[in-house]
Amino acid sequence: MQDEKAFIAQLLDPKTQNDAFRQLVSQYSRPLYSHIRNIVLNHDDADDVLQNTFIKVFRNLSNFKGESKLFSWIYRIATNESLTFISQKAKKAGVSNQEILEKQAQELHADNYFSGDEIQQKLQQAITTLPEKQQLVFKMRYFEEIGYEEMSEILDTSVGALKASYHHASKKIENYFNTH
Amino acid sequence: MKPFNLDKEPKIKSGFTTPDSYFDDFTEKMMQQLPEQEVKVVPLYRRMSVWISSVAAVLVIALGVSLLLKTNTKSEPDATTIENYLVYQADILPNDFIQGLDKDAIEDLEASIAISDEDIENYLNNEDYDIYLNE
Repeated sequence: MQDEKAFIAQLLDPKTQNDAFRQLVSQYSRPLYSHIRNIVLNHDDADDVLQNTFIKVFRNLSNFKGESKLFSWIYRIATNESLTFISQKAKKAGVSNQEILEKQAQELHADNYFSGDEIQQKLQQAITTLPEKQQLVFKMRYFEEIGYEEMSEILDTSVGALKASYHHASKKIENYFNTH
Repeated sequence: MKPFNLDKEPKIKSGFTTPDSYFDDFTEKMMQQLPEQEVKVVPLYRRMSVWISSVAAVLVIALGVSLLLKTNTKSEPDATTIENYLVYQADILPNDFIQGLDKDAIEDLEASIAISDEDIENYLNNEDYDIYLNE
């Protein structure tokens, strides 16, 4: 915790800000990319959202009050950026958020940056049939293995509600596999 | 066929990949995109706004003071204005004028009225002054 406080102080000090931010980008780019890619599905979109996320983090460093962990704060920004991106894309296409994700999941086999087999694509398609919040919880727990406590801080939802969401999501996915 | 169970199946990975070496230069690419000295822009603007407000306040005060001085200056009304004032003031009677004039002023006034004898004669001819002449 003391280390995180010192690191945040470096991020806020103009003299050390650049070096500290370089360290932050280096440390967070891979896990944050996975988190965003799991939500937006497409590499180019994930690349755009990842860059926007880091820029937003940089711009808002002075607003970070330290009430939550730096990790949770950054993930919350990335999640919001990803969901906003999906909404904007769906709006442009004149369809719902769920419809655009379902369409993208169906076309994953043609994506140059998707190496999944039939089962992996089926899982992605099954996830897109879930409500938005259940999709998020399932992806964060199943693919990213983020703990419920941390997820609770990121999504601002109680641990109990998150566990219930994951349970419902799992059952629906199993049902999808059994019927498709 | 055995029902599908996520907990009993081997972990299914997302299957997402990235272009080769995507992360190799990502950090540097990201650093170049950062807005420069973002934090300092705000205080500078605020400081500028204080300066602008100060200058504006000084200008307003200067303008106000100059207007105040201007309106307080006593200016002498010209002769036409006085004349018009007196003409339209029903309370001021000819006798009041006479009271306000001394002997020298009356003589000056008489000297300034250049009326020819002919004009006086014409005037008297047009009026019935016999009543005065016969007295």
